[in-house]
Amino acid sequence: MKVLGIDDNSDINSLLGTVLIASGHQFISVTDGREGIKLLKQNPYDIVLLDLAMPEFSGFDVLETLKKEGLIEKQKIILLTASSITDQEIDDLLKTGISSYLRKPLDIDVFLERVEQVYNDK
Amino acid sequence: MNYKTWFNKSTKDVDSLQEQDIHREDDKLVSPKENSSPETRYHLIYDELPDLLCTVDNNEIILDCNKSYAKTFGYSKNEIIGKTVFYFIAQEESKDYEESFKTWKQTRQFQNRKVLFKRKDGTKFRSPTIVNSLYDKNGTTIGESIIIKDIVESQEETVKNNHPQIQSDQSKSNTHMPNAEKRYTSVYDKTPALLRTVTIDGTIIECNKTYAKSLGYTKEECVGKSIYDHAAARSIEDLKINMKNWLKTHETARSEIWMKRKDGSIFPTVLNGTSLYDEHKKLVGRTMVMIDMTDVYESKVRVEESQKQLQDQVKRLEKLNLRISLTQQKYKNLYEKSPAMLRSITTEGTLTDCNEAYAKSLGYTKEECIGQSFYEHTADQSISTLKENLESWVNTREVSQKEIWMKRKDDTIFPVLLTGDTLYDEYGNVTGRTVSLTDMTEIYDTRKKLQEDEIRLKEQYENLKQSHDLITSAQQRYKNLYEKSPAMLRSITTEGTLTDCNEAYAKSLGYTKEECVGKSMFEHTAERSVNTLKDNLANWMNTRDVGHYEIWMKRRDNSIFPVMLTGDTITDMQGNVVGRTVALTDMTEIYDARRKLEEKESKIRQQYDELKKLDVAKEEFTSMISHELKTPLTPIIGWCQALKNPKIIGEMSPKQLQAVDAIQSNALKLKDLVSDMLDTHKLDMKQMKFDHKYIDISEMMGFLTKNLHSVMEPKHLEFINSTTESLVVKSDRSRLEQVLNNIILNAVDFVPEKGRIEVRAETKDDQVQFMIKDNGIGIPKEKQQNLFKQFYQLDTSATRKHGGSGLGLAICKGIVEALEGKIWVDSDAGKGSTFYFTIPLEANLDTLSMEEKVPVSNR
Repeated sequence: MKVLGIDDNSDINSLLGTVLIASGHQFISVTDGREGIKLLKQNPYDIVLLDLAMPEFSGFDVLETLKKEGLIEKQKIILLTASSITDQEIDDLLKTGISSYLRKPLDIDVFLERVEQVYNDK
Repeated sequence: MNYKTWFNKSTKDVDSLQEQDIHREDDKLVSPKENSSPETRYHLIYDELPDLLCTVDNNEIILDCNKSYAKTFGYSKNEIIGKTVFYFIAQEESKDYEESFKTWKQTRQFQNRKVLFKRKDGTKFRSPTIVNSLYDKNGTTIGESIIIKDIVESQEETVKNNHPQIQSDQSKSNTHMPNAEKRYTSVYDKTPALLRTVTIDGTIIECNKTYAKSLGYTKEECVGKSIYDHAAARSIEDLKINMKNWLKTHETARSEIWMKRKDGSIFPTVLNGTSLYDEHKKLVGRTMVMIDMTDVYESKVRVEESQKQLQDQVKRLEKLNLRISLTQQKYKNLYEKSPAMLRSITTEGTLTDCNEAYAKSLGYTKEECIGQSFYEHTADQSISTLKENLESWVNTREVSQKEIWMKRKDDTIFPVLLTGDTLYDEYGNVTGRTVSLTDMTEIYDTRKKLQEDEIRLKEQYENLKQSHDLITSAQQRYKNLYEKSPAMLRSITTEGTLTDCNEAYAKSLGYTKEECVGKSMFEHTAERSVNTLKDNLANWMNTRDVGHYEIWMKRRDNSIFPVMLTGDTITDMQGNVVGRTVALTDMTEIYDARRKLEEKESKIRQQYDELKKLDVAKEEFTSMISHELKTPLTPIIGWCQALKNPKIIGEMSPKQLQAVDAIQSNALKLKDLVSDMLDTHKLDMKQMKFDHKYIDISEMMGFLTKNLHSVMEPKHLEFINSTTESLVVKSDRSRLEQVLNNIILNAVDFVPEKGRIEVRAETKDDQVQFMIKDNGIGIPKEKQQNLFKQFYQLDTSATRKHGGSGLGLAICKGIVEALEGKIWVDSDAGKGSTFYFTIPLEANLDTLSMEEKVPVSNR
């Protein structure tokens, strides 16, 4: 599967990339939400890993733009967040077309399991 | 009276005129209508007399005049008749004549004087003039007979020229007889009169030619005949009487005798005569003079005709007069009967007429007034005013309105208002003015009465003032209260006009008190409050309750300030509302205080907002800390995991693996510590967010037990979930799990190997009570009170597998309390510990189904 990682922390990108590639997947990462949108406009990805708390152009901004561009329906998105966001807030986000979410720090095994699960969902 | 009397009178008049005498006997003159025959003669004589005669009516209009009159003045008789006598008087003396005439009217005594007359050709002559009144049978004046002796200077001559025979006879018989003997015969014969000389028995001894010829005889035929032979039968008796009287008196009475001619025809004569005496002065006869009157009688018809004409004219004139007099009467009546005092004056101020009201008001008779100067009727104080008025009138012909004082006959005075109109004659000359005088006495009296009333009112006022003064001292106290009150006080009428105000009021508005009184209260009201005040006024009129209003006042400089309006209604003694006294309390300070309060409130709100912002900032800070602390842990823990997974990176040596394990476990501890610290911080700041959802407690307990099973394994602990009830509560599941985990993991730390931990959830009253029971070392009572405090650790040296931050129980307590529950412990040293906590049982299954329809929360 083709996975796009959008996280301002490149260490996390490389960790996730290592894990996913080791599992036989393709992974491209960007540290700026706007670059991520550019890529998503060019080619669809099987899964997008989206960090919410990013400077300048946050994960929420990315979601808003995708919604406007009409791309959010076509894209499977897993939110990754270290913020003290409540379960309720995450539930609300899930209702807007987000596939899944994971709290940081991540458990690698849980992460891989979740990615597979989301990819295999319809 | 017959014509003879007239004749005598005329001649006598002429004589007596020269003596400037007055003839009273002429007053008995009788109307010519009494006797037709003498009347004719009268006219004859009237016409033929040398004196200028005219007859006038009461209005001085000429009814008749004789030939001399007409001839002298140069007019025809017809031109004269109908004119007033004044027409013939020279203008310069007409006034005098009018005066005299008036005097005559009043006194019936005409001042005979020489009047200056004017002829048709404009020449003038002066002549003595006599005026005699004419009366009817009843003695009422019907007019005057005016006799003008023709031109005084040539009087004798005129008389001789006009009547030579009569005059000469008269003079001969009376004065020239003895000296005339020589001329007698020639004159006797030539005389145009019929002369005969008779004896005392009436035998004719001589006659003149005129006599013989007139009778148709010769002179010789006449001599020797008796006078009776020549007299007409109708006159014989008269003649006999005449003879008889003559014999007695020796005087020949003037008689009218009809003579008989030879042919038997008769003719009239007027007989006169002179007695003849012998040497012994014995009466021997007389000379009889007879004037043939035939011509006179023949002209009778003409005279009668002209008489008739005259009468017609008189009748016409009478009609005209009647018409004029009717019109005059009307005005006269208006004039006479007018209640206003009317007087007519000449340009000099002499009264020519006045009405009854005028005379009566002054205490005179009308007659007394006329002819008097109007100054005699004027009070001394007004004479100068009247003089000015008269002068002004003469100049302008306008009678200006003046208030003057009149003087009565008894010298009392009274005020009048003078107005009037100028009178003109037919030529447009000012002849005088008619003045209307309105008695002002009543007006003056009214004025005086008003003044008296005023005085009386003043007295009443004084009395009232006195009683008022008594009250005043008491009032003064209230007045002082009013005046000196620090509150603004004003008294107004029902229309809102200020009747009074106090110093505080005036001063507050920037006016003086005097400037305020009389003004409308709306002038002192700010525009924004005018309607409120109008409503207040209307409401007050209805209810008499002034009420309480907050209004804005307007100062003189148009600045405004708020006041509280209250007041009392003022009623008069009958209980009618006459106004109200209003107290206005300056609200400026209160408003200022209010404003200050508002400002303070606003400041506090601002501070609150700032604090809130700060709170948000803090929350954001907390969120940021959480993010920033957790983010670096993600790659640390993740890489540790990845390293340990041979599928990802590759195999590691046991030593490498040991190192990665150490890193990982410490990273996990750090992660827990960060979580705990953030939770503590959130609880302290009350920033912890809770998601309340319906929770199936028994399910949750089962899940928890299952999840923690792995934790129990290393120590071979007996972990029992003894929950039996099926419970549903509305709460935050993850936080409840956190609390349970915390307590259970704590217990795990403090229970020995193969120890026992029991968990249970059950209903206690309206609470769900959770129990976590262990058979561990227990907690000494003295240490239990600090158990839930932050950073408190029961045994700092204790080897602990989980937690160790010293925040766990504090966080549990914070969460439970935030969820409106309680947390406590039942324990003692060596007896194990039982932790309890409760949360409210807010919902049961019945309400659950219902409330599920509603979205639980949007947070």
